[in-house]
Amino acid sequence: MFDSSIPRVPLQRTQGCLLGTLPRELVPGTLEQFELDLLAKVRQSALAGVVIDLSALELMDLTEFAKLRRSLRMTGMLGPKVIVVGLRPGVVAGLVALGADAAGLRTALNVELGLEALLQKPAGTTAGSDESASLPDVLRRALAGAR
Amino acid sequence: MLLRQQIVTVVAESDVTLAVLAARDLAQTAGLGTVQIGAIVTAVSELARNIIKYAGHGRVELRVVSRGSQQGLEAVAVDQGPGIESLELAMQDKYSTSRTLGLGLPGTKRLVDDFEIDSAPGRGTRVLVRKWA
Repeated sequence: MFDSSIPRVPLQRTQGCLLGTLPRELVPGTLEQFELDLLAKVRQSALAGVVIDLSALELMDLTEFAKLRRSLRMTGMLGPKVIVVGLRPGVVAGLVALGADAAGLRTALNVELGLEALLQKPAGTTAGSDESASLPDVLRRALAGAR
Repeated sequence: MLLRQQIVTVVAESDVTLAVLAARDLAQTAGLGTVQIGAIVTAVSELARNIIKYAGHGRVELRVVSRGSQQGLEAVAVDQGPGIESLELAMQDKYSTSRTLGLGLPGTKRLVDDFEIDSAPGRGTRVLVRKWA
């Protein structure tokens, strides 16, 4: 069942969390393989959280966004907290225009802030770890960060 | 000389990727900024996916266009599929015949500067989008 033509998303452990770094572009099968790898890895290791780094990703359409959200929801149901970091302004602009549903998606500007948010005590979260951060908020932050 | 036009035949999901990569290259040639490239390329991706989803196969024509000193990227998605019965309805937010995503065409329209659609039942669908630098 292993197809070597599909690039694997690297999953590395850091500070008790799992860090997944998505590539510059997604090809058919990337997200499906990523979901399998991610769920397997999360199941075998006791993790405080999962950080998904999208800072290299240049494009995500609605279909891909929906697939990724599904994988992350499944991961979250296994236990660890999940946060998406590094969304590019162009990607976010596209998703907002397309009306992507980002309700409940946790985001942070970069890996460092994402890890910080996950490793904090649950109560009294601060900026950058806002559970209810909406996609327009993400866009504002990403644009501010890009300047 | 830089390539200024490309036609991508769309029959499988991997062709969506090809259309996206071609669109990105041409958008760069046209001098679009990063956010503009993200927008037009996302629009191309949505249009190419619609071809597969609703028509099965078709093509995406991409070209660098100009008006005066301004350059832009034009993408035309063409298919001979079942066509759209009511364009008015299809362009309403929250309407989708497949009920899975909704917002396809209105969302795509928001991503671009120019948007034209021509479709009728049994005559296929042609969508033109443009993004100016």
